[in-house]
Amino acid sequence: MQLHEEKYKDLNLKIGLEIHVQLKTNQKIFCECSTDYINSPPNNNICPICTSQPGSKPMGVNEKALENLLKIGLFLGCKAYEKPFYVQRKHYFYPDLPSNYQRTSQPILGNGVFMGVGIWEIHIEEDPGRYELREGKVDLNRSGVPLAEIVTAPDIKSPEYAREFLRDLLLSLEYLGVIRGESGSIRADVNISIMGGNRIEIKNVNSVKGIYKALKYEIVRQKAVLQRGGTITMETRHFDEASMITKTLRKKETVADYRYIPDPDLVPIYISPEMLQEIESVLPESPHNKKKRFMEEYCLGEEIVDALISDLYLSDLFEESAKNSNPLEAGKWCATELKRRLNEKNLSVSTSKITAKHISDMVGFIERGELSVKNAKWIIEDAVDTGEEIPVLMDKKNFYQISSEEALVKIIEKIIGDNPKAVLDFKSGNENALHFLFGKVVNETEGRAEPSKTIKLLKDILCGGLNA
Amino acid sequence: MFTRDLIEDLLSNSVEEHLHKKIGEIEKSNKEINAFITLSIEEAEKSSKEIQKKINENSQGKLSGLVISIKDNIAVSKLRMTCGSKVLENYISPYDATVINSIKKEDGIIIGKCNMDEFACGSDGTSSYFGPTKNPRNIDYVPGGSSSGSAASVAADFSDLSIGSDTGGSIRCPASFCGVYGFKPSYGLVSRYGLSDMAMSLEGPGPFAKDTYGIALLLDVISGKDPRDTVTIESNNSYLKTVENFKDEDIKNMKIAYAKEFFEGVDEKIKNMILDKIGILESEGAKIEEVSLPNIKYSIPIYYLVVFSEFSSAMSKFDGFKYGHYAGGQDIVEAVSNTRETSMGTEVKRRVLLGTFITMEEFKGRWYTKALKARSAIKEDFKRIFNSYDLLIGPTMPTLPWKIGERISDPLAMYSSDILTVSANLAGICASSQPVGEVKGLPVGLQLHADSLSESKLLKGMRAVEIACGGI
Amino acid sequence: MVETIIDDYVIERVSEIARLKLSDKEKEKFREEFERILEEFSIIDEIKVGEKELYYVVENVNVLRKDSKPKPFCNINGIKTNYNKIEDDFIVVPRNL
Repeated sequence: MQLHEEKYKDLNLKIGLEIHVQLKTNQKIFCECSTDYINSPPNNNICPICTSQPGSKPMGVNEKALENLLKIGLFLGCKAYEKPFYVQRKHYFYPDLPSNYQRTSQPILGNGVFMGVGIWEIHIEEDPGRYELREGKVDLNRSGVPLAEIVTAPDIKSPEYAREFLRDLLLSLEYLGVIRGESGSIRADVNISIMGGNRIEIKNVNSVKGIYKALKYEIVRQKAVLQRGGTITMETRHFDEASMITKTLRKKETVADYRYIPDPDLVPIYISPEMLQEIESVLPESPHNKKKRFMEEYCLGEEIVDALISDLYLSDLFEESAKNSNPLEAGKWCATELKRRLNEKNLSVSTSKITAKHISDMVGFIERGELSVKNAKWIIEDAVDTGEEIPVLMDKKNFYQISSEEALVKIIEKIIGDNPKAVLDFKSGNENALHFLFGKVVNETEGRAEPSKTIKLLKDILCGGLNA
Repeated sequence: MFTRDLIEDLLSNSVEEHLHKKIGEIEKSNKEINAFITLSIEEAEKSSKEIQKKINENSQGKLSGLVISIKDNIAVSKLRMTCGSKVLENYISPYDATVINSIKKEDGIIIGKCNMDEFACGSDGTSSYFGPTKNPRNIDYVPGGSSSGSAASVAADFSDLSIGSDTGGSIRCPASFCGVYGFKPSYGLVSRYGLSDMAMSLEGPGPFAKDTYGIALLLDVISGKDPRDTVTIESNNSYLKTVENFKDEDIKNMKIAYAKEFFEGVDEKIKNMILDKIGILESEGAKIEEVSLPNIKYSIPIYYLVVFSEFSSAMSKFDGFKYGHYAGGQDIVEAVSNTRETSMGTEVKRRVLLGTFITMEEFKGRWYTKALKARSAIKEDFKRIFNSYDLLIGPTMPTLPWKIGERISDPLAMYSSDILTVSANLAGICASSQPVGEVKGLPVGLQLHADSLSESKLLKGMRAVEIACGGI
Repeated sequence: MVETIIDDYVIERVSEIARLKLSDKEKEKFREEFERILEEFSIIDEIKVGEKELYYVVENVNVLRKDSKPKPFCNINGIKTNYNKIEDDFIVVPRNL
């Protein structure tokens, strides 16, 4: 299930992520300020609560934030805990944290799974403001935006899989409409250990690409340490975006005692079974159910299905295209070539020009023998980029294959007529002559002769099956 | 009823004149008493004119131009809020506390911000960065704390009413020492939005007045559910009616308990005075019985452990970057440490350090968690009593006010003076103090407790004591 | 009463976590005081405690807030005038290189 495992086989990689996503709401989590802070000049999207003025108190948790977080949890197959949870105070001094404690809740849901990776727990917390370290400047506009923190089990086995996992997770959460889609709206703490050694934590990586790079670097770094005969001690590191490497945090900053206490200003919250049922009823199909259905309804193999279901946009596109084409083919192409192209270009189904019709049209051409598998890969790339209709693209690129027996026979007869020596060579047992003649057919048709059919017909005609 | 007469007076005479009388008193005596940190005379005069107009049109709010002083840890927009500390010496509040909104809406006139023990860390009114407040009844003596200026301003006639805050007796203690009425509402009845946090699960704003009527009036104005404070509860806001409808015969229906533990270690003269008042109530027909509160002796340690932990959390916000005193430094760690070190007073530092210590992972279970488990024992004690009784009666303070400078600042000695008041905060119930006499010219306060959200019972009890024992 | 020992190392750590730059005199004074205070307070070991901590004395639960149109605060300038140092609308603080 996890691709790209081969080169990391002997490393026994254990990667876990603590992912922070901004929940989609109008107001901040504890106050009535807007969450649309990006468009505001610095320190202009603030109030006494999110700047922690003396005497200010948090208002009740934003209901929509909680609802969106529950949607994420249920979608990821998590269960809610039976008892009420507290919002806690996590104390540490930092200029972007107005109270010098962060309000973060106890786990709300847990024990889920996504793409084969366990989801340990999900909880809600407030975003701090922004502190520009190098310039010594603080902007509190972002302070108080609601975040969901998703904590995974260390089940991820490669940087590539981490990247795919995050990509699909974010796409699906966007599809659910529960997170803000702007760039910079994901942050993660990354945990990695190799060969059963100690865990290294890399804090606060701000992008999917950054997470990938940080992991790649860490693997190289840790291998080098071990090769030199050293050991890996448990520590916290920082990822430097500019140089794309991880660095040790100064010791002072890593000694942390957060002195968690339940926040006395926020009364406990209890998620009732009724609340959950209501939310579940408006959720789209879960990956678990979709997988089952795809395998049963479309008879797709597990690996193909896994690649489809984790990106909800992609699975929708597949289902749409399967209405008008062979699902096995459509599924295969969506799960492999299409997905790969989108990843390469950092696009999603919704941000590229690909449509279900492209896939169903293409599959039709392939099945009729008019489009070779090799050329289909080019067609997909063009469709993703330009969105032009498949027939138009096939024309432009001259991809129409000749596979009708009648047309092929005509051409073969011409080639046979033009190359008597080769025919004689073949008849005297020289297999190469067949390939020579085949090559001539390919040339004559500008590569459009459908290969397997051509070879078969050539053989048949040469061996005297059809009229000579 | 003094305050009621006062309102009637305001309705027929000049609001401005009444205000000027108060200003006169302030100008005469505040320099000595030091009840105020910031005065707001201009704004007050402006308000008085507006309120007069409303009175002329008979559209005035419930407070009708009464003059009110506000403890300086409660936010009044555009006024300085210092919390009695160098930390916030120059901080101008950008917003109004919910109780202030309510007071303004009901046409109370805010005259100024009252002196207090620094960040409410004290029980005698002498730890303010802005100098001690003196007891108006005898300026050589402490006024009590931490709402020292609030109590003093009512006692000295600088204001008709005041709003203070009570974390472990901070309203009742100065009310007792200054000889005025002070009321600690049930936790959750009055919004804490705008009250600078000190111990969040224990504290809340509350009224000072010269009589039960004034207490009930102000309580009606400030209580009620507030979306800006999630712990608040709906109120029926008819406390004034409760007091107005009280008849002498109602004393006969009262079941009043007194706890023997609340008389242990109390000054003999105070004890006798309180017992005397209890005797009067009994002779008027109230049912009086002795009970026991066995866990009271643990209330000081439990209280202070909870206070330390919540206080250290509350004080984290003071780093000098967003507001308050700033000392600067090489880096963010040094700048913050220098700032806090040079702006916080000794008791504040002591509580921050202890609070940090007892919430650290390796010490938490021993102190913080255990204190919170023990807290339920106190709550249970009261629940048991109020199952059978309406009220608990006793003294407010174990001693008379002491001379300013007399008490050595040994923390344990300071803490122990709160022994009779902290349990009400631990349990979240309501309690009051009212003057019932004096010894050597110094006021003695009688304390009543009632169950959580039983303000009506408590006010009836206060009225009963007021009538039967002759309020001062 | 259980003996409570607080050594210099602990005071050092506590003051660091609490961001208070104590003088040596203060450190010693507090160290001694804390020992005394906590020793006195260890009397709570005598209470028979229940299983649950009492964090809240009110019964409220689930006080949530409907997510409606944002309500910008009406006195943002009042907040900013209290900033220690402001430049181009940013709060100026020490750098962290």
